[in-house]
Amino acid sequence: MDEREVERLLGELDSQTEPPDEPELRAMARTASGATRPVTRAGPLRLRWGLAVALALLVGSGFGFGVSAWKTPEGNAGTKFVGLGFLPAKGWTVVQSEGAGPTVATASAANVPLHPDDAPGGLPRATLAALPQSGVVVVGTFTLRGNPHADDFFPLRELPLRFADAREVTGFEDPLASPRRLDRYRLRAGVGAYNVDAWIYFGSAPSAGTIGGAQRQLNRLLVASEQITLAARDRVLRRGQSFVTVYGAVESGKADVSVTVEGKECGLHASSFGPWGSVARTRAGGGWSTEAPVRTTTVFRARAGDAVSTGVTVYARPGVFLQPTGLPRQFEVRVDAVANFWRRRVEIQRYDRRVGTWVKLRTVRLTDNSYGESAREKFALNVPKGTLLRASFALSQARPCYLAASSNLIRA
Amino acid sequence: MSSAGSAPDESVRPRVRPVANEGELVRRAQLGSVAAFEQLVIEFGPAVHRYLALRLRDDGDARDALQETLTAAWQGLPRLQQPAKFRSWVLGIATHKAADARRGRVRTSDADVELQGREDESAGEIRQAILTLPASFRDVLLLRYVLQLSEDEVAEALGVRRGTVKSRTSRARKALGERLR
Repeated sequence: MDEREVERLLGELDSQTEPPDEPELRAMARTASGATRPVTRAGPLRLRWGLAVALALLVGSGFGFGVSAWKTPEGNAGTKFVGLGFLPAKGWTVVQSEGAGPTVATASAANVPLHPDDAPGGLPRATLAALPQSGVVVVGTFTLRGNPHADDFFPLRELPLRFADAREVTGFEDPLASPRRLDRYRLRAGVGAYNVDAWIYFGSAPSAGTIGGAQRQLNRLLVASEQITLAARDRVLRRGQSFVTVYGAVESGKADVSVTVEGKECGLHASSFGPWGSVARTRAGGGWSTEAPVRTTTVFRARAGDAVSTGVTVYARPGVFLQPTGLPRQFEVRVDAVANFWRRRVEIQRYDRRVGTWVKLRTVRLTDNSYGESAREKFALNVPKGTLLRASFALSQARPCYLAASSNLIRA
Repeated sequence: MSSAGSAPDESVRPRVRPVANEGELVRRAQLGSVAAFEQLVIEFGPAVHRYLALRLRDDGDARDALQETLTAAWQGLPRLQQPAKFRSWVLGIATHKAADARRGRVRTSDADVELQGREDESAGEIRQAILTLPASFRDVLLLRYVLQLSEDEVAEALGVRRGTVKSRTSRARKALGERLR
């Protein structure tokens, strides 16, 4: 069989299946991009930002609740109230707290006293473990809308949420993993600028009475927010990363609202916020997302008309690179950043296998800044062949606009 | 270098620029741009899916393998040295994921490879013949003649030398001819 014939035969072969359409491909790409990239050595010509390690609190200072418990008269909740969480129904106890990471807040409500072993603001594991037959516990977490990875799972709903919309779930799906067999229901809803994930636990098979009690507590759910919110997918940039996905939602829930992301870079040259990256438009439900370039530690906020969100800081690390020059025992260290690191110090370290730590060899001062956005220095180092080396740029040298950073590893 | 003491200037602020070509998209995706990665997936995803569907003979498996391929591609992108070779690089990942998928599932029975009714007889014969070829022959034929990759691109995708691609192609053609005879 000659080449042309094979080519003809195989060229006619179709895969018998419909290829994924554009929305499906986009969803696949977004799912894939949710995977964490492993830390790699950056090539010499790439832009370099830092290695991610830290977490910070997301939003919440403006919502004005720490850890608290309330007892108030009965009545339905609505978005005219300020805050997130539950107002307690009669005979119920509620505890709410700020969340960490992408979770803005968590709230628990129970028709029994909360167990003293449950930490304030934590999930009520001990209460669930000791839940009596007539007990009901509602646990709600609140995250910002706008993240396309998550929003699809949270259908838009109006307050008050209805227990009838909850679905029964197995313990296998439950992150709380209570040691007891409990009847549990999950209710997910996009409300205003937030996604609400409510878990309702019953001490025994729910009766009309316990369901009614759960509904009365759901009636007292508060979801009131800023007019516009913003969150960043990464709070500390990874090595090689120079874009960050920012997202949020407008409280009105309207589609096609123009949202401008504004940024303010650390440093004297950027004393005020200005438009940063592309303009986003809200989707159905009010969620929006876009990408913003980041060069140094930058504060972002979103603006839609006169409404402005709380600022969110995205931290960057300088790129630190260590490489041999080609001459015997000669090395070069380079720190790439938009800040001027001239005459800043870099510590050269070797790895001590016996104790498993990095040991200082010497300090190098960066005196050559003739290469644009990098400061560098050549230096000599007399170490045994095969010694593992790195350069460490301390926070004291990197601040105020960068976090500390370490270089790639090389062998002498 | 933009020093910390320079005057306020809108022009120094970076903007998201419209991207012009594949190399630029790859470069931006390497720097963490999800939007650029989406564009690359829209551009190359159908071809990768076609290869996986032909290789795995199951749309569900093909879509799963495509998702795994894209995840591995996203994670490995910073290590891609030559952005212009993105297509062969991602197809190379797909060949590994296809092999993983085949290893991970129960051996295909004769009943499973029965062709669906809408397929004409000759296409069915070719497909059946390809199925009986060794995996290395099947890969080289699918990449070379179905996805129209050049010999160099096939070599990059499979991680072999160009000469190996040529010899494998020749032997695969011969084996296919024998089975279709």
